[in-house]
Amino acid sequence: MSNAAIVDHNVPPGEPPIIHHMDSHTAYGAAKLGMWLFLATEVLLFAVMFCSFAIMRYYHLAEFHDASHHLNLWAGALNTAILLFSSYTAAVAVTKAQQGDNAAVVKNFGISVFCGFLFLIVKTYEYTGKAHHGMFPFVWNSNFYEYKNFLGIYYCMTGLHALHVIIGMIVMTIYGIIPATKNRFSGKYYTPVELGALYWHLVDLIWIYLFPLLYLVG
Amino acid sequence: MSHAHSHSTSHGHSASHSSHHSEEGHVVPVSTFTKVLVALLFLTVITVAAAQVDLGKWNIVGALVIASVKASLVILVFMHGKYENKILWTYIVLPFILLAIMIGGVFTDDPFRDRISHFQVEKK
Repeated sequence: MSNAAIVDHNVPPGEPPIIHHMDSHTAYGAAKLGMWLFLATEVLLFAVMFCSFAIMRYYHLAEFHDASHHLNLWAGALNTAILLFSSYTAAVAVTKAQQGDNAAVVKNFGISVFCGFLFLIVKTYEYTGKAHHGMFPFVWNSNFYEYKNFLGIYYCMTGLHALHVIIGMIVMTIYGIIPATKNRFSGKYYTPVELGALYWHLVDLIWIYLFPLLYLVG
Repeated sequence: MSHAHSHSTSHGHSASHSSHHSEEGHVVPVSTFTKVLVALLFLTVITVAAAQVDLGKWNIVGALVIASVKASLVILVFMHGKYENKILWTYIVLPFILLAIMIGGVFTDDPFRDRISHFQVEKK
């Protein structure tokens, strides 16, 4: 890269000029590449869990089969639909940001964040139902200790996924919705919207695999 | 790098130089996303319906195939994967290859551990 800095004097009066390290096209490509690298590490984080799911299912096939029937299929299906729809609105938000429609970014990312809340409400409903029946993987409080392997991996995977839902909601709010209310995005600058949406799509992507594996085939 | 000469100036109008370098990402029409959403929801219904039929070990194969079709749709269209370059595709594909290696490694190792210990016992 050339060492010629790009000096942006297009700043409010009295403020120093902004010095960019690269032109905006290069910066955009670098930011997106970095985001995808981060997403790759996220996939690997879940890959470890999918791998342990696979090997535990191999050893405890009957247990996994029986235990998965105790999960609430319709809650899982509803959450799948919620996440797919929220992923759709996140994708639409990127198109709207590219078209400079900041109000639509607020609306679409707002729907995605709202869907994140809905997802967590359904998940909480499921968890409390399981807690009520004593479906824990621990020996001291479980009424279903014979399902300990399945329940252990179920709580680990859905718990880590729920954490990602929460992080995604925060990311979309801070880097998408709040700047959009200040009309920050245009066809020339929408990187935060695109990267935030990418993260939310990853959350959706993980759930696409979690739902059939945990709820349907066990 | 080829753009560098047009930015090497530090005069006041350099901001206008950079402004015509828009981010150049592909703008996907909303209607495309809507079609993909409908396809994704339809495939979810298929997944749930297929799980109600007992196909033995083919249940999980079918579920994973449908899930992979859905994941491909999300990556290609929602995440703009269709419009990305080869360097970025390396990052998209690499974790899945590593996952395959990890699962392959575990399944060709752990289930056969008892054979190794038998072998060692016989040797003694």
